[in-house]
Amino acid sequence: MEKVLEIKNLSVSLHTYAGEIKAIRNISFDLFHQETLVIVGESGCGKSMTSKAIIQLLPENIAETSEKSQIMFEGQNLAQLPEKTLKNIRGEKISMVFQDPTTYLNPTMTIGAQIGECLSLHKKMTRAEIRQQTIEILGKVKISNPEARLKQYPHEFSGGMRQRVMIAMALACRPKVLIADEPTTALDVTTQADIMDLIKELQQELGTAVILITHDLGIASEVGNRIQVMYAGEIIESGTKEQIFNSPAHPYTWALLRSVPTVSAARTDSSGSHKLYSLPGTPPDLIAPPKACAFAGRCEYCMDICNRVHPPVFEDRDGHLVSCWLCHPQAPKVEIPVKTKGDKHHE
Amino acid sequence: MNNENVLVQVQDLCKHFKMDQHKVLHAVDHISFQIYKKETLGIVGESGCGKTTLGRTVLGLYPATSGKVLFDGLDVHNADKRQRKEFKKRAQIMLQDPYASLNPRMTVGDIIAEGLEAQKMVLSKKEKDERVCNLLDLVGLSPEYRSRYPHEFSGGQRQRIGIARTLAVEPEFIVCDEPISALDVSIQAQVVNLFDDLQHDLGLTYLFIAHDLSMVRHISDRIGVMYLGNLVELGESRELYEHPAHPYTKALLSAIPSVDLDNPMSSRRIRLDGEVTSPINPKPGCRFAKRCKYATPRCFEVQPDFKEVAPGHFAACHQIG
Amino acid sequence: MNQPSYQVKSPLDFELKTEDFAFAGAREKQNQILRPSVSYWQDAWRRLKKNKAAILAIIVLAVVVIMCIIGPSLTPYSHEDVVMSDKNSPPSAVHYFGTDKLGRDIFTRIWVGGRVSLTLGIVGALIDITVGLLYGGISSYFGGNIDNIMMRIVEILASIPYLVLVVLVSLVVGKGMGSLLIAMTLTGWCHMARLVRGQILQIKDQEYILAARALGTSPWKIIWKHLIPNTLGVMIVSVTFDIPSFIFGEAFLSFIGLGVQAPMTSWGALAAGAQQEMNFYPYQMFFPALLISLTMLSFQMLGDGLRDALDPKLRQ
Repeated sequence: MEKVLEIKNLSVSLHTYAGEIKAIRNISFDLFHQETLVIVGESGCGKSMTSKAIIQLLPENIAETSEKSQIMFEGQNLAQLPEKTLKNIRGEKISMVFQDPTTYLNPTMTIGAQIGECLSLHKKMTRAEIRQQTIEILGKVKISNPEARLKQYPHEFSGGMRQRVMIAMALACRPKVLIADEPTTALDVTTQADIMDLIKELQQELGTAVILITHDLGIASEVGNRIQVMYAGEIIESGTKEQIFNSPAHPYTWALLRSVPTVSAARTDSSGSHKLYSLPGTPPDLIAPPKACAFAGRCEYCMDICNRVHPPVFEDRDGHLVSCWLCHPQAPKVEIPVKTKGDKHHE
Repeated sequence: MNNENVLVQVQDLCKHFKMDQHKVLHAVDHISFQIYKKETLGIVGESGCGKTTLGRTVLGLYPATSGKVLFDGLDVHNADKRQRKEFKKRAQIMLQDPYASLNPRMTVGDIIAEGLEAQKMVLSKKEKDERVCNLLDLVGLSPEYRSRYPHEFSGGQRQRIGIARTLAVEPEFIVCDEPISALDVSIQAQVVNLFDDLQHDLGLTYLFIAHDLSMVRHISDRIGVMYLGNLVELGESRELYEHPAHPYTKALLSAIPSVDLDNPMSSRRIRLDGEVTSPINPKPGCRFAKRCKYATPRCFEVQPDFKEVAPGHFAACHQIG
Repeated sequence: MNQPSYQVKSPLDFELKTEDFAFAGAREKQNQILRPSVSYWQDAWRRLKKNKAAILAIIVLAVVVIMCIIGPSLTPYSHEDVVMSDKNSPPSAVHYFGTDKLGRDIFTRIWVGGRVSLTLGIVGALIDITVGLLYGGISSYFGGNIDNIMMRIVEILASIPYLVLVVLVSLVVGKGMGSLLIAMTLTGWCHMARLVRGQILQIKDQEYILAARALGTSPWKIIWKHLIPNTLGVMIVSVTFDIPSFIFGEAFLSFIGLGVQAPMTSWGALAAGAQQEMNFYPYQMFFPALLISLTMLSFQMLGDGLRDALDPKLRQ
């Protein structure tokens, strides 16, 4: 498969009044042509920061990308490109959809003008062509009656519709990579399902590679091809959807999967115990990240070595990557506490 | 359950907001239900369906347009000053946003003690300090944190502080307004378990408002589904999730993303087409009719009443029964 | 469940023993907060300290205030002493800033005048903020018709031209410091009231206010414990910006003859007196002008620094 994006040793620090926050700590991953890579993790784990680092949209005066970081895209290292070149890549070749569409749409411009702006910035087109293309793309994101909608302002659209407009803007130039940062978090379940469907459909049609950032494992399983789990600024496990959901290997992934209440498990279950599994503690403060395993302090399976040495990356035959000492051949064998394959997740 | 066990009785409650001279937003429209002692009633619905307004109107934080809320026999909206103060001690609210719901200029100790002072429940400073420490301990935080400020805590910890503040006045009934939706998955589980434990230990009754359907099912004994100001379905949680009767409930349940790879949501999803009806000056008839594929002309004319589909399971739809 | 076999991606450079893989149990130390506790004011002070311009401004202001207190006693002269034999003498070791056309020591007069200017500035700004806070607070907290009526009154008051008011007040009360203060604060609080109202309207809808109401906290306590502390940052900033406008207002009015009357003096009056002789004795104009500018600039810079330090959006 063709690699679209290759990220190597990416580290990002934030300089704040409280001190230096190591938001992303030496992560590497690839994005392949036409796939959907889902990055899951909890707030503050660095998943959003990763997406912003890729297109170099980090908060300017406080963020610092380390010198070793490489973000290879079309033979160029985005981490070292001048702002001027980056501007041409952003929007045209790599574009983004954000969580809250309201703040990213200009309330004083019509929808048509805003989508047209992306086109006129990156492509040489006449006004008639731009209009034609805008109508076409609005039709693609399933906005009914696009000709009339073109002249409307963002406030005349509902939340779900605005997110469709955002997607239309992001895809107007047929980018190679679409980064969607929690695109459905602000939306209702039914609308969320519509938007996810739309992203999947357009991806098939345009051949765009998608990086989807979410905290919702359900969404990850619905749309992802590959899934990457982040914790405390690091990627702790990555693999195909089947690997992650059917044979997860990192205790943190287990914990995440166990804390999802399944619709099939109600409190009135005859089994009596209806306690949800809950992971104790909170993630480490990234001002002073632990030198060894960042999860060790909350891990049920914490071993002696976990507190002393940072776990290396382990890989199985099928490319399933795990950063946990439990995968070491000398480590004791542990039964995965998550029942997978259609089983209910509760005792 | 018999009437003695009813703690909160909501009768034909309406809450309308006047937008301007001709526009009236029907946020809560003719809703009736009961909450039994020591149970959790979940309310689900999409944003803008009026579930938050419902919770606040039940507590008397918003005056009702019409209808009644009886709390242990007390008419909440027509109570005198003294009764109202007493009611505020017995019924409390737990808010959604762990960031906006704590005053950034007050220490955690002062925040928790606010209710104690307002209800004049403590006399001396020492007594207050003791109570605050006990409360922090109850919600699983170290009593040492009482002199710290809210911004030093994570979302989950802040939500625990909020719970401690709510519990300070020893309420019997708590309206939980999306208390977990701003939290991470693993933290959500911690907080939900805490709610559960507190209910057991203190005999609390909850009205649990949320949009996360799987979490609501987990915590609730009964669940009500709201759509644009109306309660469209109400039933025991297991019954409701396994045999939803209202077409809207069915569509809502089918849209929950699932972590089960063998049974993805996309394969069983019921799509909703059509535009959402506006809750401003709504037309007569079923509010869901425009998006409902089973709609008949009658649905656009007459608003359906609650019908019992199974014992204790009600739905408001003309196609039923 | 048989685990798939994993391989280390890059080989390890050390040997591992079986003991290394003994279960240690979760430590759960991370539940503790590592960062030290800082209150809002400590945090703001820490941020202000990093702002060099603001610190410089504080130093300048401190020097000016101290000199206003002790300055006059550093010279053997009183600010009223007229020595006609020694008039218009340039700055020297005897008269640090020289003397004016009546032979009065300018150094002494500057600091005595400074007392008037600074007192007016600070007292004026404090009156503005107190009235503004009360008025704006009541208006926004109760809202509805009360708010409507109270804000219309503010609009009417604010529309009265400032100079007209000063002339009228000085006609009624007479000229001097008191009438200046009355004239400038009579409508000066209006913009403060608006500012406070805007702030409180913003905070009023916060969830912690709702929580306080649900707990049965009384309206006065809500205003006192929730609304005022949360507007205080903005208020302090606007007070710092208000002081220079008072100092300038006083200087301007004294300059055109409506302000402090001789033999009492102020920076504005000093500048006015020197103006006639400016072509011959520029130093007489220089010192009061310098102090007016320096003080105003310092308050502006301090205000800027405070705004950055107290802005909750900048908190990390």
